Amino acid sequence: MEAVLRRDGKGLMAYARTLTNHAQDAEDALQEALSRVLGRPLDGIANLRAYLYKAVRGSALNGLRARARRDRREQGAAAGPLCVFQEPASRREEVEALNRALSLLPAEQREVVVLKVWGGLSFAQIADVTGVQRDTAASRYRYALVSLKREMKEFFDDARG
Amino acid sequence: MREDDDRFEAYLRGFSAPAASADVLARARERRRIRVRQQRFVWALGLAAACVALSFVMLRPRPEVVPPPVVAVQPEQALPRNPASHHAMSLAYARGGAAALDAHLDRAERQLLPVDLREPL
Repeated sequence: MEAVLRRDGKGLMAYARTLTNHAQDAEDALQEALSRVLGRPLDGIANLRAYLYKAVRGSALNGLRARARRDRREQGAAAGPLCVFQEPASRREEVEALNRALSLLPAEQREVVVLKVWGGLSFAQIADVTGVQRDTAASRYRYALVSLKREMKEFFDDARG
Repeated sequence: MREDDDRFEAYLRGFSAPAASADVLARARERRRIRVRQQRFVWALGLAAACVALSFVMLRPRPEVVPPPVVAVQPEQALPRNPASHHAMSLAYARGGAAALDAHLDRAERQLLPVDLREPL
């Protein structure tokens, strides 16, 4: 498990942050997912990476439901701007532009693009994790990529002046 | 176009989320230990509740069972009102055999009223 975390830790965190839009909740979702996975035999799992992403998704969505209840109790604390990526620190403005571009995507497209690019999952695995058809996942990815390209191009155009 | 997408993907992979805290796995293990302990506690609680309920049922004083009173009835008193009933015919046969049964059926036949089947019921 340590090796898996070394390899996929940042991707899992990116996915958890994408879903929760909250650093602490993302860490919490990852811990919860790992604690559930640790209790199960991993021998029969065909793809551990996809399985972990699916576990993180379940924990993150549970956490979101709990947070929604908590926020309702505390009279709706609004979520802050999306902050999935923080590195490389040397290109802070570019990182912020990417976070902003991601935040402009519909949630389902955002999820797919993070799983594909930073999770390294195939469309079949993404379909399994998110519970949609493979073609739907592929289509969402294409739309997301087009939007991200456009937003990042605008950022560079503005930066060039 | 495809190459363009691949290049853009590679560019995107240059960005990364902050790593999870170093002790994320240790915390996950601790969380699991706590959950297992909680589950055991809930099971034990359920089992104890079931045992208490069962012992309560087992140790409850049982109501005294009163046997139904035995009523000695003379055969003449027990004779049913319907002479064609199975009971009445059995009784007649027990008293006097086939001859008594024939006589009983004759009496029963006389008590029956003729029914005109052409009339609506």
